[in-house]
Amino acid sequence: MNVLIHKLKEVSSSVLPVAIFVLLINYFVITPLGFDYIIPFLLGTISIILGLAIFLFGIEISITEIGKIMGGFLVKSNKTIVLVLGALILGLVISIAEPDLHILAHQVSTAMSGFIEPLTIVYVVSVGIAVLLAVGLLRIAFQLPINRTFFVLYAIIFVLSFFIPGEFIPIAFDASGATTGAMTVPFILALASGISGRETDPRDSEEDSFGLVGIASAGAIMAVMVMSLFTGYQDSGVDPYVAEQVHSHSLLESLLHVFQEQFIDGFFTLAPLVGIFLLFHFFTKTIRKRRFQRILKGLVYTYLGLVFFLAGVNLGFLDIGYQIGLQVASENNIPLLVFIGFLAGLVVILAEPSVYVLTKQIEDVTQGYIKRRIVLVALSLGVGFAVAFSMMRISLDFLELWHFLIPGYIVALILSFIVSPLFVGIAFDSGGVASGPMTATFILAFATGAASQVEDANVILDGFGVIAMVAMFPILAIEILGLIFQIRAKREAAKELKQELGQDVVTDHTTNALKIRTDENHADVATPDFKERATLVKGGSDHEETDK
Amino acid sequence: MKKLISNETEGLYALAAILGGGQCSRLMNSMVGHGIIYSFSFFVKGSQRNHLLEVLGLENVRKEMHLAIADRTHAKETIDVVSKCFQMEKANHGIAFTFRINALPFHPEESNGAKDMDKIGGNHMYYAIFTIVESGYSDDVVEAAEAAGSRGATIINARGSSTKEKQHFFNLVVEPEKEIVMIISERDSVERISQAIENELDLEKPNKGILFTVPLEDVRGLAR
Repeated sequence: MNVLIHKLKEVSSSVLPVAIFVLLINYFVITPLGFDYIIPFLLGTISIILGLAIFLFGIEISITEIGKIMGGFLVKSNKTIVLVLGALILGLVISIAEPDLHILAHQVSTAMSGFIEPLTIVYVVSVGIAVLLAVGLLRIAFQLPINRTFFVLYAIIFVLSFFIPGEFIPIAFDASGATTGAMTVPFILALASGISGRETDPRDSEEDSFGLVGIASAGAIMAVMVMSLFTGYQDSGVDPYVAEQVHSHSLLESLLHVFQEQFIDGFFTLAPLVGIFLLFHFFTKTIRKRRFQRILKGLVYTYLGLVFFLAGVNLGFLDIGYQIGLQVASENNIPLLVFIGFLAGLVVILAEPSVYVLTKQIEDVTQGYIKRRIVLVALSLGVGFAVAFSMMRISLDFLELWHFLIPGYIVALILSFIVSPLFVGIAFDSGGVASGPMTATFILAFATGAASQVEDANVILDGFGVIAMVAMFPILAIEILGLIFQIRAKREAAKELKQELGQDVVTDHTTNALKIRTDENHADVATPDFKERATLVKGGSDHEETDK
Repeated sequence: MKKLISNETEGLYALAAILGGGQCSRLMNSMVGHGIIYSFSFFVKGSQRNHLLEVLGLENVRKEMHLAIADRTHAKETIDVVSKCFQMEKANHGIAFTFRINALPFHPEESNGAKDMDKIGGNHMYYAIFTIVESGYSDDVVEAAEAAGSRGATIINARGSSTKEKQHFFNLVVEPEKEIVMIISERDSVERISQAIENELDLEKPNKGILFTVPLEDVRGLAR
């Protein structure tokens, strides 16, 4: 039970900031909202805390395990055809099931007056993700440098963006964030680590654990862009968000409605992946009994957790986010709106499920060299700035989305050639990670609420652009973090070298131990990273050999 | 290693501590200035024997393990500090132990190695049983050990292969993923637990896994 209590504590500490933020804004900044808003919000918060704790625990023992098993299978096959086919099937299955993608498809379809069916959009984007997932796996297989891969991918995107109707640019970039949601991210991350965990070169192994989510997200952008080449844009004049806001149920009714919806949605989200996993198990029979049972139990946890989490988000955060955005914007105080947007971004990202999964994988892969907290701070700041700039863009006429996106991505791509590949992978992954269900509801509702109060703001287009910003800024934030790490590591290396040379009190065995360590592992003493340690873990078996 | 040992008459000791996730930085702080030669930590899975937890699928907990190397005096000193700092006398506050890592030191003046070994092996109350198996099989090891009376296990992820022949995944050199299962056991049950693991996993056959035991010097934090 300790595990769940521990998870609950951990999760509370990241959900409570959002709750406190909302309550503070409600009672001190705007005209307080009535209990009609506050009670669902509090219920939603409790549901989110419970759901997130159960969900994250479930993910850990099920989805992550499945991803690793599948990754391992792909490695063992060692055939291009298996790799590509496997990636295509997995990519299609997981993204077709992603609830965020269905919401996006619906919005895009509405924005285009139903010119394209929502399901068509879902399929097109899924194909895009599947193809790029295959590209990402081939990148690992053939060890193409990650920065060049992203350079080529985004170069294609930039070229495409000149040919498509301008209105599609925010939609396309939104797709990158929206499609990598609560289920896809943990699975793709685990798939990557299932492969990278077997690599003998420690540096490659660390680096290849990240980047796959980022590459898959690029697939969504490309898919929407290619699709828009063949269709035109027609403004429907319907506001997809506001249309969804209207409801006049009693609390109990809406509670039941939300849960019912999530129970069904959650089932369809998980079903395809579970199906593939069961097929895999019955055909290969390589998964041990106890592990298989634990994965099944984990899937139950994942399902329940997902239902409670999403129900909580929809119940408590959608309406209140919209109202806060609307009321703050109606004060006509742009600096205040920007500042509150910044705070909202800062706290909301902490409650995003994928953020947990990513930061945990970062800690696991680097064995604590990159601390979870530092990554969280960077992500938080990134999303804070993203929302703040979005508010600025909504309030100020002359600012356009591409004023941020183009320089942002150019800087991100330039930095990717300076920062170490590990951080480049983490950075582009976190772009997809940051824009999960929490942002898609609360921040989006906040932005739409604000936009509805600003004259000349096109609610549809401004709404779409927010996710695109939230997907881009974390890339920059993590790359800057990587830069800081690099500078610090250099400084420490210099210091250690100085110490090592200047110290005459070093006992014999200390120097010997250091020498042995470096000689045996070809590792750099100055920047001790985990992999070097892992070899020492295996050193346990070497001792036994010496005993013989 | 040889050179290192000849410089050390007292013997080198490894100090291992298994703690809840994220506590190792605190551990390292508490160890500063205790003659630690080298230390590092990594994430492991802790498995507890508890039927209810097993039914719920909650038996594995993410933990952090820390290994430090020091000479005898300092290892002793450090384990005292560490066990005090984490209140290991209470249940579930972590485990710490030390073991000698150069178990057969070369003493020119005392050429009777076997006698030396006897002397070392004689006083030990606890042993650590290490089993290295293919990834995914740690559950079977834990299950067998628990059936034979073990109360818990620590699972360390690793990779490696016994053959020199390299496997390839396209341009990459890959090795199979392994799991190291570490079980701390009282002297009386070491043989029973190791035997149970060996039988369950057919360790006598080639390529099934490796099992070895290490006598522990000083053990803290085992709930009685």
